[in-house]
Amino acid sequence: MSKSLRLRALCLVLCAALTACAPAGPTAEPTGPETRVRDNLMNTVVTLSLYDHASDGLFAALFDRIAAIEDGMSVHRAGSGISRLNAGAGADSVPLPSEVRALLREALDIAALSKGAFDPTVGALTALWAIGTPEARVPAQSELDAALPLVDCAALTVDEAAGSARLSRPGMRVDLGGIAKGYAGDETLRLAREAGVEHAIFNLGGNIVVMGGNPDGTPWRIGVRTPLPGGEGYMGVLELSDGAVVTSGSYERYLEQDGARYHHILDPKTGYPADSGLLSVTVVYGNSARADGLSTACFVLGLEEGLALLTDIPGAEGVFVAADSRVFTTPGLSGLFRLTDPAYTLVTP
Amino acid sequence: MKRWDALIIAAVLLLAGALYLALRPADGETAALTADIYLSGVLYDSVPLSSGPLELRVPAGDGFNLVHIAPEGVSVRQADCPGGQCVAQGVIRRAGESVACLPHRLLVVLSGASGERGEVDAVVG
Repeated sequence: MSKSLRLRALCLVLCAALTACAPAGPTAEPTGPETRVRDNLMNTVVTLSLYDHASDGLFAALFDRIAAIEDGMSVHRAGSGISRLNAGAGADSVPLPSEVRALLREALDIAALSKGAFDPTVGALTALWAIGTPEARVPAQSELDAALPLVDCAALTVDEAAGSARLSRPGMRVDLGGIAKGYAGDETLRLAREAGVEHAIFNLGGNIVVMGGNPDGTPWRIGVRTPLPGGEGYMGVLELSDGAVVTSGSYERYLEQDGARYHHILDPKTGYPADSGLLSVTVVYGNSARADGLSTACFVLGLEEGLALLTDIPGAEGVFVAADSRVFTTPGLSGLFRLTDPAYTLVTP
Repeated sequence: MKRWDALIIAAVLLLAGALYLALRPADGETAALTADIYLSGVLYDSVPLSSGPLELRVPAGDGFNLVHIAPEGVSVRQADCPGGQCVAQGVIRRAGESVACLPHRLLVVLSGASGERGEVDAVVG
């Protein structure tokens, strides 16, 4: 080999080696997510991040889907299926779209699994407390006593053959606020998958749904929000490639009156905010609607019964934060959850 | 190896080093971030975090939100909305994170990622 050839070869090798060491630049594949945020859906902030197949059309379709679910399920929309069902309480069956009937059946399933700790007919109570709205107040005991008999999921029937549902007693109210956001997460993920998306992470007001893991080949890393009053950020990290993560916590929405704090997760049996010794419950599951309902149920049930409920459901896992800052997880999360905040103590399952 | 070989190698290394420094992504999680402020879904202002610390009084809804922008992150420091959840939310620091005042339809989103993946991809709850 001639001297000049040898030199050129040497330069070429050096250049190649140095290029390989360079950090991933803007042309590297993939470069990061394309993210869109909306603040006018489901009374919360929705953040959609697509790591492939992102387009204006797809983002619009995903947001439109969430808006359509809100239109059908919200108790605050006069024409929604749920509002019509509530308006007809105690009277005849109300014809409802198949999607609303399906979510009602899902809610009844979760109510049965949790022995009523989650109850879609809790609407008479949530309307009284109105926590999270300007009308929020602590109801009188007499008002709660009058509302409690109206919380009864046995009085909600869904008739698939007739395409309708019925609340059998006047004054009853269905409120799907406990799972509608979760269902919207499932639907956006389904639509994105149908559009060819392989890696995505969606945040619907704190409900997280993910698919495909991070494009770098590792699972998604989901921070679990610190539930201590005045706390900021997250207290632990969960790893998950596909599925849903939903938290129910006493810190989310609350009313302060006469020095007391009343949070928004009501116990269907007492009519008061659930007082089970927990600050938050985070549920991991393949289906976001069910994860949403289960997290509410576990929060109401408390640590022992909540853990037992998740243990009975294949694929369901959870992180429970107790009021004394101890953290408990289901055995399936071993190695997938790590504590990052020294203010908490992880109790090994 | 001849003297010219060594010189050329040194020149290539120097050039590569200079290119590395010139083209590498910005240091720090928040260095390249911008706070995009939306009112009722319409972009109201975009402020690079590096231009802070500063406070922006945004006329939102029937009142105002005081948005604090600093290289370390963005928060709503004060607001006359019912509930004050925007203030309670604290500081956001990563691309894609947002702080919202739903009563005032104010939304602040951090955009323009540094390219680095943070410790978490999202926060549940």
